Amino acid sequence: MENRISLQSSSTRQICDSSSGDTCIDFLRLLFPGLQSNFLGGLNFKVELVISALSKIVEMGLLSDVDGRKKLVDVLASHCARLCLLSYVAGVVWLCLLSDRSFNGRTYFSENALLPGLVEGEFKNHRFASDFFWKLSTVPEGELSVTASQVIIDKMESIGLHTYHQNFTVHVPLHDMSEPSTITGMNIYGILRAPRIASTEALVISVPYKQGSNKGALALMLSFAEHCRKKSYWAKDIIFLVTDKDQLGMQAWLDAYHGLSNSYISSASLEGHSGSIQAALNLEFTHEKVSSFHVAIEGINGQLPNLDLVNTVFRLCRKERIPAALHTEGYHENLGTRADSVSSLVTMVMMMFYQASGRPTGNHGLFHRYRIEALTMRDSGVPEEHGRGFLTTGGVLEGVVRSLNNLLEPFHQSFFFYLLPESHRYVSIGLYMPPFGCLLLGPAIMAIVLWSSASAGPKSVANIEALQVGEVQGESPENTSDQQQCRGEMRGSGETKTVALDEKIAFLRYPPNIGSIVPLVLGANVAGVLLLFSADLGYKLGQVTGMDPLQSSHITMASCFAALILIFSTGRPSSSSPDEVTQRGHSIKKCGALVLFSVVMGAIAVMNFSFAFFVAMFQVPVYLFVYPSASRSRRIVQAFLLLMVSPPMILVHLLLAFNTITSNRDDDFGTVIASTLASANQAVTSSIREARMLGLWSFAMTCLAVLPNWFMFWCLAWD
Amino acid sequence: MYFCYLFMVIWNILSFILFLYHFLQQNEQENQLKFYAKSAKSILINQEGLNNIPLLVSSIYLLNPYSIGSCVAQSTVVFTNFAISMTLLSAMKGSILLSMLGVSVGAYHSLYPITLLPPVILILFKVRCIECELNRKAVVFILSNIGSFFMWILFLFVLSYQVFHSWDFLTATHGFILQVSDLTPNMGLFWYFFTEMFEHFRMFFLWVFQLNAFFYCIPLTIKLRDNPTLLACVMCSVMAVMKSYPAFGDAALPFALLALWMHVFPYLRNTFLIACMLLCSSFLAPVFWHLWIYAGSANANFFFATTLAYSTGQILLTSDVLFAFLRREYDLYHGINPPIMQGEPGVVVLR
Repeated sequence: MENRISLQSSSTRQICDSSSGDTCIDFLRLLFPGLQSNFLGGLNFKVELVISALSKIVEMGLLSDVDGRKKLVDVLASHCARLCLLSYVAGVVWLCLLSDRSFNGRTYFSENALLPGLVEGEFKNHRFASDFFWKLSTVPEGELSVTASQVIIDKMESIGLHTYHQNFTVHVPLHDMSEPSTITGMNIYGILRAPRIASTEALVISVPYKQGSNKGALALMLSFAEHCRKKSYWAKDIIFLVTDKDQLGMQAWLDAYHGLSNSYISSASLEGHSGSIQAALNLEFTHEKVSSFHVAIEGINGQLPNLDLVNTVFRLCRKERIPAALHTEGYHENLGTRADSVSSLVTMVMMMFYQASGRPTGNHGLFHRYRIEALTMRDSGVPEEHGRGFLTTGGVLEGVVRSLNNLLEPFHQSFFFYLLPESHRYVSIGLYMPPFGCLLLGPAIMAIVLWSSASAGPKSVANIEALQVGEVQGESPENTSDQQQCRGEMRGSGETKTVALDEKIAFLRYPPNIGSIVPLVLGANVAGVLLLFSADLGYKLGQVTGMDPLQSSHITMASCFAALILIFSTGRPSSSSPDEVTQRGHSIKKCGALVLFSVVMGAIAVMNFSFAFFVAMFQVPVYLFVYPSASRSRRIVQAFLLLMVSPPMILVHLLLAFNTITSNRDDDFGTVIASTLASANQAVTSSIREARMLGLWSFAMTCLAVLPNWFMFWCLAWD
Repeated sequence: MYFCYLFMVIWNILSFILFLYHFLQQNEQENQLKFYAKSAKSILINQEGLNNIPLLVSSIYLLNPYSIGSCVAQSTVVFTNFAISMTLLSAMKGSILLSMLGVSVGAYHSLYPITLLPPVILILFKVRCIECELNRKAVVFILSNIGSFFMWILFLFVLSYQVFHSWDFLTATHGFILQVSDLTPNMGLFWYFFTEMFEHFRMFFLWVFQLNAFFYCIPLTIKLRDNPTLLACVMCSVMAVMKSYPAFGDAALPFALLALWMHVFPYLRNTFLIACMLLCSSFLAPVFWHLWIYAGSANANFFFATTLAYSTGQILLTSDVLFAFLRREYDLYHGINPPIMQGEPGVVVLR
């Protein structure tokens, strides 16, 4: 063995020394001294061949090989419609298939320091928890009153935590007249200092107060604090946090902890501090007994916690034999033979719905913005007679916190970008990005074809136009005859040499007019910015005129959108058969719009994959179809299709799908539609509000990225 | 406010340059017209197109997201851009002192504009109608140019010395630029390479990288000695890619100057590819930066990939413009119709 290693190292040195081209032959010869020399000679020849081929490619210049590229573009142009359709279908089907077990992987631990479940559970503090649970039951439910907060503070102090509280005031932007314009609240937190180490790192266990309904979690957290107090092995501070007013309180506390200011949430600075927070657990269970955990992971703007943390929680739930699930996993029992596959698909799609909304599915979601890995553990919400008590749930909590206590460095090993079709199966970014790329392949191909048609001679443009029409109307006989006529003309012109010459210099006579895209892009983006601010404008208008401000802001937004649509649709077809110059202008405009669409969608997909995927899934086929046309029926169909995939309609489609999945089986379609419309309205308002208070991007992303794209195609449809 | 003022100044100067520039180009075209082929008439520059160019260039510079961004960020790159545009303008006007002041302010401020020295001298040659041959007159002219450059830069250095009363500022400015001691990620190629490298190779690769930034000056000057304006534009874009701490604002100037070469655009071969590369990298760079620095979910490699695409796109663009220019020159003298070889239209290949 040693011999071998020394041989290798010497050969490596030789490679470093020698500068000749066939070092790899030398290397092989050194490794296998007995190798036939003629074999090596053959190999040598092959290597030389490869090198010469490579140098030839470099010499010719891969990028300057115009003829080769032209052949490729011709192939793309002749199969454009089929390729676009194929890539679209392939993209969607591929992503759906990824939820199946044969295409995704089993989760595993990347971070070895976590050592989940290795230590013996020591939590025996369930009596304490039960006592405190009953004590909390005597406190009247409702807002966090002085008595309730005093009960919690007293308990924390009696346990021996450094207890502090923080007051905050929220000025709700765009508030409804029926609601108060300011909300005040108080967060209570106790810090358990790590006994043997300076407070450089911390873990957070947080419990939202939820009008006193979250008693089970509160009792468990404090009993766990009592348990921790007696142990000496903590390497990180543990912060036990009770937040008021759901996400607003959480945001106020996080802002104050990190010394940030928020113009809508004014929070008092914190008296007690600890180190940088490594991870956080948010607990929400109403009752003493828990039959199954529901783990929520989606954070703000589609951020997800590190997969290692998710794995740890699921592993410890399994260890304590408490069923834990994501979203609707396990809820669809009567699905028949393919139940597993369908249910994992539904779970993955549900996760994508939540991620696409960009809204956090629990208080944990706000931690993600500060590079803190966090998730929420919930119960099912209904009282359970036969569930597991505090002993078991405490065991899970203890196991997770002790694993986190083992961490030596921040979570970085495992995935941050993934989809979960089941609690123990994952689809990583490497698996889900190719289907998305497939989805965007259609626009890319069409953009290339349009570009080449815009810079080629006029004949070729006619061909492309015929192809487009053929693609749309299913190769109706007139079009094919048109094409044949076209080809016939080309053949009929006889002097092939002149045609070839003309083709060769076509690029000089007809350079693509790139500048024509600029006004389109500028106009569409200005429209997007207008819409972004229309909500505020309407609100101010409502305040001035004495109308209901919220309603007025809704009306202004809708009318702004309608007005922009009308303004952009003023274009009239110049003539029934536009000349070549106009056609080439259309090609270049559509090409630019498609490229921008692909780039914007790609950029969004890196941040919030689900958002980009859903938007692209709806818009790609329509965008490929839209083309300036003189025929009235086609224009109407295009306008209808575009309206169906406009951002507000996509929201309605997605909410409809979401409500259909989550609704009971007996609900009729009418109620589903009604609830969809109500929730769509509510989603827009809250996304504007949360953009200010929590830093949600959905509304801005829609107005500044998705909508301008849509306006571009809307203009094209009417051009 | 300060930056806004400067911005306006740059805008004015840029438009002025171009006004003068098209006068030059037209002149040259008229001088050479008798040598051009008959069929080349369609690719000649026409007067109407030229009249639009000053407005076009200035609006590209002003509306470019890159220059707006660098103004918002209050980047000092606007000073360099100002110096460069002043250089080009005064070179067109034929003023030795002013153009050399521009080069020396640029070199004093960010060092790399020193590579503009050869194109500026060549432009001055052309403007003053001095034959660029190896005779006494030319040598004296070159020496007087270089002398005034050194005079200005010495003046600036001494002025700085008077302020600081020590020469420490040299290591803090030019030393900082040359030694690349700050590896904060930017759109350039240096930071990733020097973070990944073993310390004992650092000196060697520092020389390689920095020489690379300056070296292109020599071959390009030899090749483009008859077209110093193109040379100056190409040097600007080489600078924007190869300098040690490039910013978006550096790329804004070459993009604006690109509009000068509208007449060679039909000869560009990879417009689509390059446009896509630059678009993608400009959109993805901030996203990956956010994911890496703020969200902590992506890492340095994501961002580095986009900067690589950005630099590659810019280099491809520069070389493509260069190729297109040479290809057009060929067509001007040989006619736009490709030569017929064995009954097939031939392809002109650059060797």
